[in-house]
Amino acid sequence: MALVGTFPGLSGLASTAVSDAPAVEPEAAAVTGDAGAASLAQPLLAHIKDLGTGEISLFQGEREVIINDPALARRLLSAVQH
Amino acid sequence: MSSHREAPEISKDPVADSTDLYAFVSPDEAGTVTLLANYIPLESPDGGPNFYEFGDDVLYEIHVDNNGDGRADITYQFQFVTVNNIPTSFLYNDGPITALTPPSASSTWNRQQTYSLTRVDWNPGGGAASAVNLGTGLLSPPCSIGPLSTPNYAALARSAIHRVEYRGLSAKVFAGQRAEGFYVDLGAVFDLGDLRPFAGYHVGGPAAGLMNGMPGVNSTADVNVHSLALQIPTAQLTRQTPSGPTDPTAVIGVWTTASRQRVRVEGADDTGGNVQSGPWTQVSRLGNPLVNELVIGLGDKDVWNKRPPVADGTEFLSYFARPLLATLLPDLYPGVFPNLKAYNAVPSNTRADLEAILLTGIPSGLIPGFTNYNGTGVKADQLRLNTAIPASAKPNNLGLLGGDLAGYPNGRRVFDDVATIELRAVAGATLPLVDPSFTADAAAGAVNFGLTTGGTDLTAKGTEDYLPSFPYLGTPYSGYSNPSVTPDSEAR
Repeated sequence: MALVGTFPGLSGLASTAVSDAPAVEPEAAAVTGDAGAASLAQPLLAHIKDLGTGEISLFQGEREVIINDPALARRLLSAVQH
Repeated sequence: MSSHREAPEISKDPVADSTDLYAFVSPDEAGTVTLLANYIPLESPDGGPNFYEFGDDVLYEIHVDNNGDGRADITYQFQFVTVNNIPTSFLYNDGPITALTPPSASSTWNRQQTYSLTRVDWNPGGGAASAVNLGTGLLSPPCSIGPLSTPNYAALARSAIHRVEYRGLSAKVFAGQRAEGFYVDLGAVFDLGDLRPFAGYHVGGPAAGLMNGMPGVNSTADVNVHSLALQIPTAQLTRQTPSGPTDPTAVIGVWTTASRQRVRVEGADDTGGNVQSGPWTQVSRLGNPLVNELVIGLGDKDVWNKRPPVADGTEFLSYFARPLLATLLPDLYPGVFPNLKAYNAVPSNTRADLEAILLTGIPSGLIPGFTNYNGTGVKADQLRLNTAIPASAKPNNLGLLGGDLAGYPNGRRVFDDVATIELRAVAGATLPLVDPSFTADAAAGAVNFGLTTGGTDLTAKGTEDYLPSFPYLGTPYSGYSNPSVTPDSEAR
């Protein structure tokens, strides 16, 4: 939930997303967004690609955003292992 | 098949599996081009109670490249919405379906689809310049079930032809079930490249008791597909009005793709529904018929479906330059293709003819009065249509090989015998166009699947139902009558 506020909204053009590479968010922006003002209008899904670099793909609506946050990646892994 | 179940991954996802693509100058509507993209292979007409339908979770697209750079300049997007009018019923319909009324609880038609159509114009450097919604809530027809459920089906389906407006001009659109129009003898050709009329020449034919002169079997007869059909003013597809058939701006390249969102979570909500999320990712691609089917190697077929056409000139070029089928033919039919065998034996020899037909279009000067060259030489598998060549008054199903400049590989019409055309091309029939020192084997101009008696024969089983007007593919076979009741089938 803490990351929801980093998503500005959904693309209105589906095909734009087909050919565009995922957006890469700076780590600071990814973890300091204003989550308090947002709501989870659509499911937010995360795919940890690399635990070492903390590369995480976040999917919502028609968007994919990649963040690099090793600490968050480790916390998510820990959450599913306990 | 043309592109039915042509790759391991997409064969398990029929809703997103493109089967055939057609692009031709409309024979009955001057100044328009017809584009047809078929999906969902080999629909058995009686396949209820959940009859076939487009996927709500699939983005279907027909792309047009009008400047020869191998990338889309215009894209038409279809997206579907399905409703259950009577959720408690187990049936597709609770009474006769006699009209395409909008989804409603009072309808006897339970499972109904509507769709939106969007035209996207792309900037040359990438990114959408504009996206215009041409229609929302457009009605699809039901599947053809039988005389009690879908009486007068042809008229019902005709009412699903919609007119949409774009910049003051009208286009037609249809999305729904149609009779399969492609014809080929799958049972034979996938049995180690057998061609029934020539089985006696096959390396294993005589030992297996096969002989020459056996008639072909149309494996795609009596089945249906789902078709996305557009009839668009030509001026809204080309980048400018061409001066004539030799003007490169007359040529458009067409392909279709299906995409799914990258992530899917099964049973994600309280009703057991699924959630899709993330960018649309291409899972199926089709330009020229049979490319992924017969040209691309098995290990690359899945990735080919996910790549853009421009990848054909880089990642996949070797498959086009020296196609495996051309190498196999002289071995499968010993002594029948001696010139092709000798040509193949020279490692530096490549098939520039096939690269032209499939990847760039045919340059001018090779066939008198004809070109569908993209003007740039960019190699990309697209169905290339010279829109300035009028429809033929006396069409030949062998297209260019039959002297008909309006037929495949100049675009593709519903009745074109593309399997025979491509087989002959691969066998060397078109190689002399680019290498005058090569003499095609006599068999290269004769091989066929035994499904027609010649270029003007449109009476082969399954091919006789084409319509003279949009959407041209025939009225679908009804579930009540297909498969047919015969003494033989009753015994089983």
